[in-house]
Amino acid sequence: MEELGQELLDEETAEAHGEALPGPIPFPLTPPFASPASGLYRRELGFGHAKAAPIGSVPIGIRPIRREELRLDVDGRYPQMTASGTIGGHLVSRVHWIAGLTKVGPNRWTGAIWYKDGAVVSFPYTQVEVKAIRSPFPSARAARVTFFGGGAPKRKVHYRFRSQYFGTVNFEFDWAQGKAASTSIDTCAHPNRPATMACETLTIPTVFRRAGCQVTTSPGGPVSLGKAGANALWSDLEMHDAMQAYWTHFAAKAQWAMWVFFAALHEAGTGLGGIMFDDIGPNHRQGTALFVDSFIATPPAGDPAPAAWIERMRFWTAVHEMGHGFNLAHSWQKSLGPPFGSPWIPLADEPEARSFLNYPYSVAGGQNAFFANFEFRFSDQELLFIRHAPERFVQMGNADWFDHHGFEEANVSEEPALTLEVRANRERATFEFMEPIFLELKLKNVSENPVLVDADVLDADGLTLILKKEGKDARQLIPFRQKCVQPKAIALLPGKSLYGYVLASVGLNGWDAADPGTYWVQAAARVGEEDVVSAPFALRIAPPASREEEFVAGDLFSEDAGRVLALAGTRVLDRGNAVLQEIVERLPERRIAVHARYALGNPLTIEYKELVPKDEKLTVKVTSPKPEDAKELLAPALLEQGDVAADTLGHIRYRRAVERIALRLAAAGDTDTATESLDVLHDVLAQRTVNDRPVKPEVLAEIDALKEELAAGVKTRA
Amino acid sequence: MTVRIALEDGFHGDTVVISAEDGATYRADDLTTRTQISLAASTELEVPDEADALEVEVPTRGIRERVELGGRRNVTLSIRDGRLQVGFPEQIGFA
Repeated sequence: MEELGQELLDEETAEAHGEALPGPIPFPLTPPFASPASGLYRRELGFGHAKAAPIGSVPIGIRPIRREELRLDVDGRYPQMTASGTIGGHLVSRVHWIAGLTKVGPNRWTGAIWYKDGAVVSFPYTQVEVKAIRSPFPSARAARVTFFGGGAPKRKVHYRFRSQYFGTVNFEFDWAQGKAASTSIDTCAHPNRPATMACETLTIPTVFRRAGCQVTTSPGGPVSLGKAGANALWSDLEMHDAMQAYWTHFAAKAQWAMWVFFAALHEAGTGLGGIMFDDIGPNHRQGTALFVDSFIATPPAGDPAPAAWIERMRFWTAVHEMGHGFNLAHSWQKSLGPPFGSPWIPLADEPEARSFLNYPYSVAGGQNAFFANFEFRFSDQELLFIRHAPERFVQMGNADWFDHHGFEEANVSEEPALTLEVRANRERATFEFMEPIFLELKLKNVSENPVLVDADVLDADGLTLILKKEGKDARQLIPFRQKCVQPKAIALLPGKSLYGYVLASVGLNGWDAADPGTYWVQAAARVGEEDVVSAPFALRIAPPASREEEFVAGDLFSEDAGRVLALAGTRVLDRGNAVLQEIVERLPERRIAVHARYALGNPLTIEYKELVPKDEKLTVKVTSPKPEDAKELLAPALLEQGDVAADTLGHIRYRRAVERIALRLAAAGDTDTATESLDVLHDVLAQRTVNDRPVKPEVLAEIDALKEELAAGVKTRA
Repeated sequence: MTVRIALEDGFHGDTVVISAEDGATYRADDLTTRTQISLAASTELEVPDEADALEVEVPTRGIRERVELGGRRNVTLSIRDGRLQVGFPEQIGFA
């Protein structure tokens, strides 16, 4: 059955690539018949389910799911008994998981998830169960995966078969003038070979197809020797120039495509048989080269088949270098760490591996021993990487996550109707150490027509916000709070803008903007089927002003304190409140104290409801407001230092804070203080001009109108 | 005889001094391995046919070792876990 399945695999491959089929397909097909289960599957969103499968008990940062793939690797060529998947949410939101599998029944496997990458707070599962639905007809194949464990309810996902391959890659083989690109080999041409190895004409694309890649090739051609300079020897820079000039797919971006160059010699001499030369610029690993006149053209004395030896070494070198293009390290250096790099998972060195990534002459017994049992393949560790590692680790030209690529998958219109701006409402985007970074967002209609947008489009949990500190990986903000609201569409008229704000410093993934230094922030809002992406915004966090700040910062940069600040106060997170109280007492002049006062005082302005257990049931406990305590905390922050408060909270948040408190005061009968607060708010904002931009007159008018309503007793509810 | 020496993996801004018994010396500073070819530098030393050993020093790592040649002409040197690893492959070539 496996042989029949393998035959079908090869026939499908041959047919897909216009190669001659080995023979007529028998009809009718003789049962029993087994199609392979391995391959790429995709979740058809909505397929077979009335509702979308939830991603987990904390569905933050990934919803809505836009793409979900499964790579099942349990049969076919070199099965790794592994399943992996990628769940893509909005733009950069992504989870990648990998599970080892054990067969537990016909077409059933289970195993533990041993690798996760991305927004893993949204993906608590620890186990998978996979069931494959086989069929001789690819369109009828499917897989069902049940995710469980990690304290989350089970999640079942149904996937449809897409391809026997796990990914697609394009190769272009070019050659220096006077040379040729030989991309195939007769595996039995040399007598020193494994006794069990099948005799075939093996091509480089087939090697990678067996590794799980659907390979396409672009027509190759000659490269002028003039590119090598007067000495006709190639330097890395000259090859890089040639790649840019001759490779039809060259682009300064990550893509599943590679250029392979057959040249005579590198300027380093005959000792260099090949090199993945592309380690300059922002996109590495797109180009490789081999040097056909190097040591790989000199068979050992007494070799029984010198011409076949040369062909084999040339073939080995080409695939070896291409393996580096896939980001594979040499067999003996898999575990190599900093400062040279880092393995994607803990890897074992394989100094004796019979893999393309090993040097034949470096193993015990030398190349005779190597080729005696080399089957023109990659090792299992390498296949696991090629087939199942996160795409960015493998893909040619890809860099560290988000570096240099930003929102590469954003669906940005070529003629956008909307623009998104990230800004801080202050002259210079420099923040004190420990000052929470509240940024404002402005979504503007730059077209001539009204545009329908969701009223909450700029809410933190609907945005994608990326922060990147210089020298560090980019991080996505996962906000503490996620709302579930009925969408409400509003019409944004031409020239008009919608405003919002976001706390960029801290979220579920921790304090990502805390250390002193320069940061870049970029946001994207989803409007219909398009993404509106802001330009990157630079800000700076200053160093601590005192040892005392450093001391307190250790407690501030905690989840509890972060939550209290993000939620504008709570009466139940005692540890967070204690930190903020300490800040108010020890650092009263620092801007973090404004935020602390606001977070501590705000909950005291309302009847505070808590859900508490009582007599084995849950009851609502209501604590009365404490207006005098609230005033003692809030007045110094929001009113006496109004300008500082507006600067550090941002105009929008400052306005909302004061207006909300004014409404609560009025509701409690203290109309005088309420209207006085609004007077202060008005005066503070009226005097604020940031980068020659005053606060809009209509904002000031709205504040005045609210004050009039409160004075008249018309409005008493926040 | 000619001894071919390849400084392979693990070098990062290092100084290497290799001395033969007759005084032939190789010295290189600021050597860093290019991991895609596992090579920091290579050289050839002409040593007497009867030469037994080479002295290898990596002062930047506090390494000093005597490498017995045993008549072998291809020597590879790598640094792993702070120690010198020596190899005698049948051929020296990089890819």
